[in-house]
Amino acid sequence: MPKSLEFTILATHNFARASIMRLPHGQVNTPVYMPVGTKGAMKGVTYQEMDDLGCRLLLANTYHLAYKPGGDLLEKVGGLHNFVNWKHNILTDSGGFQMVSMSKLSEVTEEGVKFESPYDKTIMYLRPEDSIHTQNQIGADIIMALDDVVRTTTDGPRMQEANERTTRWLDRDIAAHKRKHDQNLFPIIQGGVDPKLREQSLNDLIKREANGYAIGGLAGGEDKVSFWKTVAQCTTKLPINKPRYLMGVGYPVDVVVCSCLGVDMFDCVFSTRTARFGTAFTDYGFLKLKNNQAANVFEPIQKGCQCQACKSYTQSYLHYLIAKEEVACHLISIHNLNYLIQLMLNLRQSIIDGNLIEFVNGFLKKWYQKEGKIPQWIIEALDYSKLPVQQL
Amino acid sequence: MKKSPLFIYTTRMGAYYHLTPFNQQSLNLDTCLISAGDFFHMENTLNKLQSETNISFRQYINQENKTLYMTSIDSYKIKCVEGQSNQDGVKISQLEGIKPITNQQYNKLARLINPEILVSLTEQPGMEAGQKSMKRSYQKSAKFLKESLDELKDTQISIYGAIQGGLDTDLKIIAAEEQKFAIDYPNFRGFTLYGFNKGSSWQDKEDALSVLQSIYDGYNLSYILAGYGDILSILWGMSWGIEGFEVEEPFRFAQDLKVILIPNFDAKDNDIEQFSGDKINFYELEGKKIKYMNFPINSDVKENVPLNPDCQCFACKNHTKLYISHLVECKEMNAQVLLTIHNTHQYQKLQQKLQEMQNQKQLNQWIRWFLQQL
Repeated sequence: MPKSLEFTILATHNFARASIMRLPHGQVNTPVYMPVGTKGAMKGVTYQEMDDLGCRLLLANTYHLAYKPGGDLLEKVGGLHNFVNWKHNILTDSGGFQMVSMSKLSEVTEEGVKFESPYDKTIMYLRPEDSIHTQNQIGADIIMALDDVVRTTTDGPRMQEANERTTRWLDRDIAAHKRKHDQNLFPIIQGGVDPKLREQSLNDLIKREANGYAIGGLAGGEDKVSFWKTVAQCTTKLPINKPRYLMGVGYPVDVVVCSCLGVDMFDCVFSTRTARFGTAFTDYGFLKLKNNQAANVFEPIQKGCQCQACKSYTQSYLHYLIAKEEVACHLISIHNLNYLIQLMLNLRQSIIDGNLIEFVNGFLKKWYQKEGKIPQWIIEALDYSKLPVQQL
Repeated sequence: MKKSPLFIYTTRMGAYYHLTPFNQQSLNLDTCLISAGDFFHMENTLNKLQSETNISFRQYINQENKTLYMTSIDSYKIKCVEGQSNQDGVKISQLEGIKPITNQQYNKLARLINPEILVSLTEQPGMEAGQKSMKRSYQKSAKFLKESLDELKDTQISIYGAIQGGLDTDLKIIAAEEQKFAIDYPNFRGFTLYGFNKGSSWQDKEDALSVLQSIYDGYNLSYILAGYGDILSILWGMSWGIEGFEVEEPFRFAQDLKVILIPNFDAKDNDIEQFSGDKINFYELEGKKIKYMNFPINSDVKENVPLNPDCQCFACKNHTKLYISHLVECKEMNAQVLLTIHNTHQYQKLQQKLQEMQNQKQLNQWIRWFLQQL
């Protein structure tokens, strides 16, 4: 029987890797940015448009899908792939993060999490077994273990408790997982920014052999130095021959730096969320199309970009359209998604071509051109990755 | 005017509602209703576009090779145009609210946009308008028409007058007579007809149109029906010689999470031969309704089927009722995208069928056959 995940590294530059990940619904080139389709839709962007952008792996949220349309219905129609008509790969998270961040009442015990549904205020209970059962019904190619989620900046006994409970829940997740043949369960490394707790989590979770691992509990308000050092600690220890997924990270600078640190997969809602407020990604930073400066700029958001927004419209037109019709937000979302997808492909190619250093320097030079200075944490992180960066 | 019938699809600033260029591909939309009020606030930008770049207005809005139809009244907006006592202009709904504009500004904008068709500026009388307001509306509409014909005679723009007057036949006669001078102008093509609202009786509509056509009998003019572009109005209008229709119903219905359910279009020859080829009478439309389906629907596995299994639109070929209903329940805007595609596809099929029947000189027979399914 073919494996549900095969990970082949084609080229490296120290920690950075250019790889191919083969999943049940096809090949994914890594490093990769995974767009987030929370409730089985990408906020104004159809799945056919996602396919047209070259997306081969995207996210959906178990927490939301469990409520609507429900795991049972999805199972009856043959899973989420069939329901939304997406022929490529899907990753579902466990629902842990949404549960804690969205629910007013949330109480964690060893059994699971008791929370108030934000939809109809009923009290619900989510155990590891429940999360895995729903994810089995959804049928994603990669599923996430239910973890005990706490704020990144939490310290003391609660963080230790969450760390250890996550490991015990992982064992229950593994035991409950009924589709090991075609769904890859990724454990989630926890520990906040405490190196000792991270080490403990890494040791415990690596022992439970998985086809890939996620780095959780970051991008939650911690300082950037702690952020990159924690990522580096994880990627240094995690098995080289398995993909590493950094959860909730999707700022262009962060994905470039963390790819250099050895991360293979990223996800973040920022690209589409900020698009709905009229902000577009460019090589020179964020472009706020609602600003009056864009009114008379008769060029695309980014020259050379092949997305339908840039091929069809100018900044000027989008500036005016944002105020009038929501298709403007769809177009900017498409642009931002395309930007990140292409950024990852270009970074990956530079690893294969042996010019990652030039690529990263070129990227940072443009991104920080207006500010005139690259932040020190980036220089240090890339230095650690043996990627010399010239300050501007 | 290009091929009949001409379906003039409404846009917002030249962009079709809910449709990215990718999603438009399967629809072959070839017309755009350009609402003047969308562009007055960006006149400086349009001037710069023209003077400082090689980008045409059509390229700017990404509607090259489309027929542009510019008008001051856009049914999709509530209270688009208001009257004012000043004889030089009207008030138009713009980005920053309802503001006065002059006919000179309107014509200047028309030069920047350079549409194929321009509906002359008009003052839309209020629902409860009295005689004085109505008279002012006709006189101003006629004045604006003359000014546009004179000021834009050096362009390639075809100009249509705007006939107001509601469905009162006497008022319609006055409105039409005021603009009869336009026939002598080479850049004048016909009239856009206002006031034929959905809520009015078919008999009133028939009477009003008959009267109008009698005034212009013998003249080679074309008529465009303003408004929602509902299917029954299109069928009625086609039967009575109206060649163009402003269309917003597919988008409006999608916005309201409705799917248009149109019966079968394809009749066999012997199905329609039994019907009369005369114009459709008002009483043949009474009680007729086009069905539609509201979303969301019950979350039943049985609904995991296309909106219409025989439909070849992008939405029906790729998605199911169950999925669309899920999108609606989750308040995901993709629902409106898919419903717009399906609804617009129905209109395009209708348009093709009407053209075909017109070419075969079986239009009224087909319409009668179609109506009996409702």
